[in-house]
Amino acid sequence: MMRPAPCRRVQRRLDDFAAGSLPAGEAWKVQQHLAACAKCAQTLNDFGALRTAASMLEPEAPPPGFEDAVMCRIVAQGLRGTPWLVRFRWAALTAPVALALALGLLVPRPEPTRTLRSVAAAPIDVGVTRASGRLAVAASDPLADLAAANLVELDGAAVGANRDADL
Amino acid sequence: MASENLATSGATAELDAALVDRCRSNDAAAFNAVVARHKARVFRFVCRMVGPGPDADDLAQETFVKAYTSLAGFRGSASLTTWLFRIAGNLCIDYRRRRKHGPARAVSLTAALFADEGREGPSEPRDPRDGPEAEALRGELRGQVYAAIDALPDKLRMVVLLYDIEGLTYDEISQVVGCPMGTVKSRLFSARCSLRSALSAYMGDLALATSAHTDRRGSAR
Ligand SMILES: [Zn+2]
Repeated sequence: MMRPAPCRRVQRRLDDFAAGSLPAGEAWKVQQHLAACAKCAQTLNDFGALRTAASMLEPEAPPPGFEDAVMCRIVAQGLRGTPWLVRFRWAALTAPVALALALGLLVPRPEPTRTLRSVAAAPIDVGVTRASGRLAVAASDPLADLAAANLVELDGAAVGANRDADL
Repeated sequence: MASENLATSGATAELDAALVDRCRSNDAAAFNAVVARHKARVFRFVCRMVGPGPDADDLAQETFVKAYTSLAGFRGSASLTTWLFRIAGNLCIDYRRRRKHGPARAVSLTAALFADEGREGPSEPRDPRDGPEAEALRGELRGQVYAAIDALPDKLRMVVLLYDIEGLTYDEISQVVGCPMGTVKSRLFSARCSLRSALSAYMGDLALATSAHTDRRGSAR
């Protein structure tokens, strides 16, 4: 009795075959099948085209000031009471605040948009002042700060662990 | 598969481990370095997961905030790269679930794909031999590919992005998505079949465009 054509089994191995990661014996079997099966040979070509197509998508690059925006969010989070962030907060704050004071830049003023995105978009010298102004707002009334309110509850143990089943 | 593979590079892993140690000693500069080293890949991944735009900016930032505040729980059994992708992936999936029940996003993926002026970073050099018609066709193909990837279920899209674009191995992807390697392979195969079906009308053009792309890359080396 003839065995059914193992097309499905071969097709499931095509990515590994293309990547050269199949053991030699298995690769040889796939090769033999491809030589005789136009459908699977076409599938190999199609999968290759899809792989290349995905890699052709325009690369997205982070906006300027990305690191500053992240650090501002971390410092803002520290001010909301994550205890082990407190020391870091001061380490991160001391230098820019001292610099801002020295340059006479630290003038209290309302945050125009109250979003972190504006911090990210701002040039670095302005960003320091805005970040400091922002932190003053957060310290006096953290719950009123829209961006701070948007920050997730930070529980290291919860990162990913509780979502394994969903993935 | 993408040529770069930061997740498995020994030197990269060592440097990351050293930076993580310094972060745990409250070294702000070290964490800044972590962000600088990984922001491009995390940002690219987030953009592909949720579409480029302000929400992607926020999610990418949030990935690092969450990473920083969770560093105490990072055991180093996974690489920092796969750990960051795991955090980013979870945030993106949560975001997409919320968005399903919220208002439609303001920026279409396809439109946003070509509106990245003002961004820093690499961009594909334009081949002077390419005419406007060829460029228009490639643009349409990119839009279709993007839409097809965007339409995949989250679990499948994540695996395709991590394998095809980020160049992670099955083992690394299984750490990111938290399921066995067999499941990763199975999802990748399902994703390929879905994409091929969604792009069936374009497969001929895609084959031509991708072979031209491969040729250009080859001659540029
Ligand atoms: Zn076959």
